[in-house]
Amino acid sequence: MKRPVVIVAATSGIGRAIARRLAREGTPLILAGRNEAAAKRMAADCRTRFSVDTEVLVVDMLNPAEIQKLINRIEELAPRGIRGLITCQGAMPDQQELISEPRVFQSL
Amino acid sequence: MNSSLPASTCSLAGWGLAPKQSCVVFRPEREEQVSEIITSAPTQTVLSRGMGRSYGDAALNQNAGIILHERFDHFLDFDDETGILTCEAGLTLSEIIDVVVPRGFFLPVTPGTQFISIGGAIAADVHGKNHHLDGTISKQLIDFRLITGDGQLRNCSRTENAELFWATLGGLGLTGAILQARLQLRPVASAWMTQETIKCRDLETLLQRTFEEDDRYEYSVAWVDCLARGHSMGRSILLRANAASIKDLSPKAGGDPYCLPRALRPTVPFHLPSFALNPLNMKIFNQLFWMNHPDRKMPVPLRQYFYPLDRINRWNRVYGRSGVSQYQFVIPAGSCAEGIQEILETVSASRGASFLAVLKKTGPANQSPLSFPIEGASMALDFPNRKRDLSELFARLDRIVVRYGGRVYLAKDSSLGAWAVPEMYPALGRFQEIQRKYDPDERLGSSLSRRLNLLRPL
Repeated sequence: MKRPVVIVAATSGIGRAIARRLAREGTPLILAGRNEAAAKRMAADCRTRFSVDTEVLVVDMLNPAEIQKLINRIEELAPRGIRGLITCQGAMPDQQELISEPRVFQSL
Repeated sequence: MNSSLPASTCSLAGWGLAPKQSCVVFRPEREEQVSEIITSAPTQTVLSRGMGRSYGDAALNQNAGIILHERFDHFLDFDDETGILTCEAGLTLSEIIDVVVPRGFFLPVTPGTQFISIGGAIAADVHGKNHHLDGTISKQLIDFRLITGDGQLRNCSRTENAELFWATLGGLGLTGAILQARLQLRPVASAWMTQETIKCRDLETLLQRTFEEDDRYEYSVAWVDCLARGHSMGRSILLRANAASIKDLSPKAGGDPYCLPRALRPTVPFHLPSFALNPLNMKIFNQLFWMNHPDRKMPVPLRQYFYPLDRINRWNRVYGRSGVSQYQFVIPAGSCAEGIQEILETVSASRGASFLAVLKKTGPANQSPLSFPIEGASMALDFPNRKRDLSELFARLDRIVVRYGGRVYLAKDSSLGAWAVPEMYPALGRFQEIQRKYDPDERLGSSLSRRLNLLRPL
């Protein structure tokens, strides 16, 4: 069985395009993101279109503890390792907030 | 403007390329954003737009909001035991065909293009070449999820919110934004059709063969040469088909019967100059079209039978920058011959330069107040938008259609007068009643609804 590719923020525009492209080639996917419903519909789409195995993991990449949990779950789901990791995570906070709130700046 | 609802102002048109109108365009990513746009967008009204394949202004909302559904293009489930497909409404028929035909299923009802969205298909209550037997897309529709003008998400089916279900079918997006739909697909034995080609020398022969023999064929459509006059008026090629079984196929095609042949799809690279479609060229084209269709029976790939025009990308550009108007009408059974004859004579006398028309028999109407097909015969005529003003000709055609008790297809329309709508669609009042109930703050609207007074207070 092929090793999966992990896509973080797979429901973003670029994440969707990459997920469908890989699924078209028959690559199993692990889709990680904050929005469980959106990730699940992307997984259902790849599964239905291309008959590939697709798993969903819910994670907030701004929280370091959750990142460790994500790694543990990936190890469980893909004991033979993964073929790749693609992260489409992006952030575009409000400019004024970035200037006035050090915490917002640090979160980047 | 609310920062969570980014929008841009764009000039949009329908497939006919006219009119072009400035609209405020939203492209939501999530369902809750659609609800927020409907209730809170800083535009007077909003309207959902699918692939923009309606011809006139049905999917336009001048100086008001347009909701694009291109991010709602996910398959959600397909059960290849039962043939039930659950998908988002921005998905196109073409994408559905790519997925379901290799698994042995097809759409029970499909219009003449595969490049429309499921949401658009529901909003126009589209019909296909099998309307005489199977009705409109409503036949395959189990249910759908709709965000109405009050921002509420509602499930609609024949048993749940039934009045909204029927009003949305053919409701041209004026009852809300369709988000998801569940469709019952039909099993097929192959990706091929057995097509029979019959030449009919005049309108009388065409109508006789259509009305007497169509019930033996699941699918039937005729291409009518509108430049043929006198005794040859209505000269046409009747293309009838049934789904092919394995034994109908060549050994090569039969080896992989669900394989969808890949075809090259050349693109019309730019708007052709307006003189390209002159009467002489059209006449030559029609003569070649007539000669290239000898009477015969043969298997053809289903896309070739159902979507012949889709084989050329952006074919609307052949009509030039000013675009094309389509006039599609239906005349009730009993007066089809007289009505269609009068329309063809009127078009011919006006030198309106429609060169090809499509005719098909239609079956009984359904319960949708604004659904187009009624029992009789439907004809679609394409007219290049050039030089001469077509509005006078269309107004004459409208009066003829009304006199015969027929109607014009609103999803194709860009010229009808508001006076004609209650005549053509006697259930308009019922539609308005339902529409107002779910859109009390008048948040939904379109350029077409304003032009035709579709939502006016009774």
